[in-house]
Amino acid sequence: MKVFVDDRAVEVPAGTSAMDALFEAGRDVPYFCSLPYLSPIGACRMCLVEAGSPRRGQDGQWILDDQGQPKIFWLPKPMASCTLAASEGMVIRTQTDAVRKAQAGMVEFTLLNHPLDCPTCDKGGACELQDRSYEYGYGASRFVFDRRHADKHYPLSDLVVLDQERCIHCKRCVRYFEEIPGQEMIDFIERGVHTFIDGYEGGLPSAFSGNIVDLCPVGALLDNVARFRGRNWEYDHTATICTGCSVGCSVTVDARNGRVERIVGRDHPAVNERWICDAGRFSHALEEEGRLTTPLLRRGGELVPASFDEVLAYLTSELVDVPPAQIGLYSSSDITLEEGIALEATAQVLGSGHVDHLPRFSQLPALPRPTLHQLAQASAVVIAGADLGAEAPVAELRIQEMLRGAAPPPQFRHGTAIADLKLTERMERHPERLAIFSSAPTSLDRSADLVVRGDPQAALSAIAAALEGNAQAASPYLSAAELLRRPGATLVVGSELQAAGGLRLAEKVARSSGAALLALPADSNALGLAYLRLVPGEGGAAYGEAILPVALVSRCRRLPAQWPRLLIVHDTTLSALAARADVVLPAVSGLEKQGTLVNLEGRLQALRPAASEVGEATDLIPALGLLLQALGLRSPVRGLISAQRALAQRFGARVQSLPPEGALLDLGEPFLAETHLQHQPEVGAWAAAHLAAARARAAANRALEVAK
Amino acid sequence: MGVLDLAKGMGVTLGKLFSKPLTVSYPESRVQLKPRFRGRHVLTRHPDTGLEKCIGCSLCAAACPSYAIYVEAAENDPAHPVSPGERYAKVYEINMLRCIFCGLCEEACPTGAIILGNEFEMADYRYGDFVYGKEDMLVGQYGSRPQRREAERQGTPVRLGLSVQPREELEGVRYP
Repeated sequence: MKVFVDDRAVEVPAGTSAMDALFEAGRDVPYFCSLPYLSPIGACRMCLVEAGSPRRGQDGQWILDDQGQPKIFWLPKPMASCTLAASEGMVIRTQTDAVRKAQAGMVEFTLLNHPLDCPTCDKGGACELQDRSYEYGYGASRFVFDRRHADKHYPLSDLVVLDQERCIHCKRCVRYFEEIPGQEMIDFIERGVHTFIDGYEGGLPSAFSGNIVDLCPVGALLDNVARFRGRNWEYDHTATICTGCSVGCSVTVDARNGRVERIVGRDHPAVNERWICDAGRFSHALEEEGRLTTPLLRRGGELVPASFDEVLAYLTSELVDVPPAQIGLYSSSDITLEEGIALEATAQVLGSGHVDHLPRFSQLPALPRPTLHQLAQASAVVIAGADLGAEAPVAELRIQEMLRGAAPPPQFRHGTAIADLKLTERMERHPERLAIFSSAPTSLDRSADLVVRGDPQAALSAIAAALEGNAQAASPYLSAAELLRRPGATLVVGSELQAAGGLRLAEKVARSSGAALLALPADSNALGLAYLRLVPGEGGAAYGEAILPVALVSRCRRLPAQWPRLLIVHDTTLSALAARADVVLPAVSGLEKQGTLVNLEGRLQALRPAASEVGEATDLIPALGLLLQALGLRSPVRGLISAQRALAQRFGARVQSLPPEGALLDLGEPFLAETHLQHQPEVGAWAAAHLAAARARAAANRALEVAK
Repeated sequence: MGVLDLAKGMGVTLGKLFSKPLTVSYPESRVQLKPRFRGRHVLTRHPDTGLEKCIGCSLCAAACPSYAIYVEAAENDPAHPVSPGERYAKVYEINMLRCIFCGLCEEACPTGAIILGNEFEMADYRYGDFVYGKEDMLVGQYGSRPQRREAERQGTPVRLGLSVQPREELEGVRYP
């Protein structure tokens, strides 16, 4: 479909909005209410353009003008381009005086009641209204009367604060809650100039409420945790990946003076679109609490700060009589692939089979993994033994997208479609496409027609029987089997089922129904680490299974059943495990390290360190090097670059030059081993702890006010 | 050039020999500054309420060409506000060694909180002592750190080596 924008002709697919057509042509219009992934509603009236289309006569031919060209029938007034569908041969004018006057007039209208307290506003410097006013406004207001006055500090929840004066009624936040998580939290109240945003009392009971801070075009909705911590131009922005769960959402980490102050979502159309969960957004509040910045050494029964040289001397003397093959190496499953291959190389140098990573499951599915995009476009989803809200929150949003049944927004040269006309407010949802089998309530229960409480393994067995035709009529298992038989259906299994060893059953169900199988990994890089030899070898002991002379444990919070005689802990804080260690080495958090993670789709994504001050804290590779140095040994993987080289040899991929969107690569054969530890992923607990820390920090921001 | 021109030149020289000298014997006597001299910064207060004008917006730090200013903001306690509005400067520091006294901070300030005053005698011994905080710059504070230290040691009031009619935006500032 050919559309003419000013002097340029551009080819766009049918159904494109005029706004996307003119952005595709390299033109620009201001807008406040449109946003990728949200429905266009034409609320702000900023994107006005002049538009006209040719018409066909009764003979089906274009009506021609005097020159023999198709005659353009102009729309009588400037039109909001976000809600105007582009049509064949449409002519759009964005640069005429009438358009400029209309846009500048709308800026003036929008600013009528805006308080212009930009110097004290946390949005200042990154504010869409500020930018558009400079670009399209008159630069002055003729409004001489009193502006609207309203509550400037109205906490919508502990984490989000609303400034009612600054709100320009674009309705993005209202639409977001209804359309993306499917939870109607807030709405407009009153009419006209008295309109304000409000919701239920008791905050925003959504796990995705922080996104409204990112999408607010003005400083009306603000992050209460990062309140007044810095201006937008003072932050060091780092584009990285959230390490909270296996979804691997793209985020930007903003730090000031070596301190992470806030995390905002970053657009990744294939993974998280532009949304992140509250636990990931506010995780920095917990990451900075009680951080270790120097090594600790036990002297006289007490852990005291020490230098790395002292730790090395201590380990050298303590490890004299220890056979290297008796040293255990255990790590959490959120370490990067680089750290993982260093751990594997260290274990090989030591000749030790006492290696493991946790949490993990005993098996990986042999079926190809569906991507999150396929999950969002599935015809039906059956969830067995998974609480997505606790295990992979943003995957829950992709399932909500599936329930809405909209095709994915088209991609243009300017990115994801800004005004996708297929999306509308209050689209019909299809709860009949979702079935949940789990023993505990899950966050998606509200959106599913079929929810069965009970053992998910027994449920899967019943579904397998129903697929074979051995089921009594009209049972929920038969309905679930029907759902799975639909072409493009997906079966999602989580920790409850996998920890109980139900993955083979799930595979059987997926195979016999033809559905795709998405097995949620136990942690943010548990899938990637499964392709490295990080499981107990010949005669090797799992974590806490045997009394070892020495063990190095990195970032595990779980206490072992059997304690080693000399415990070296590598952790960010003095955890309960670290408090009983003989040597504690300071670790960097997931926000502060460089490396590669593999998310639940098998997508390799790069992790970049935020500009935060970490003292002497390191990732796992130098900690392993210290241990080897104390033993007088040398590993082939001694740093990030040698780790990347080793990964290139193993996987045939250069992880240091991944594209920005990551890469779905075949990593070969996983190394599987039974695990007897009943590993429950702790993402839910992790989220609760992070939100508690974020609330505490937001409360500290307001502590003075509470004192009144 | 004739003899007459030579005599003219010598006449000027002779005339100056007997006129009053312009040289000020600083520091014994005070130097007379021009009214728009740009010296050590003053953080002003609202004269009626006594609240600080600074709202901690960091625009001065953004405008500063030598990165001399550091601001950390915090939220006001509505019962006992430090400044009008929601936000105030919890930390306000200027590194006087970095500052080039260009006055861009003063131009950037949306509330007229920071004004370049007239004090210039800030020579000191340690680098750290050149980082001036709010307590050194808020209106009512006379003299630089070394001057105040010296005055305290000697038990005498701070003596500034300048005399000037302050500008009207330097509300509350009176030089001796």
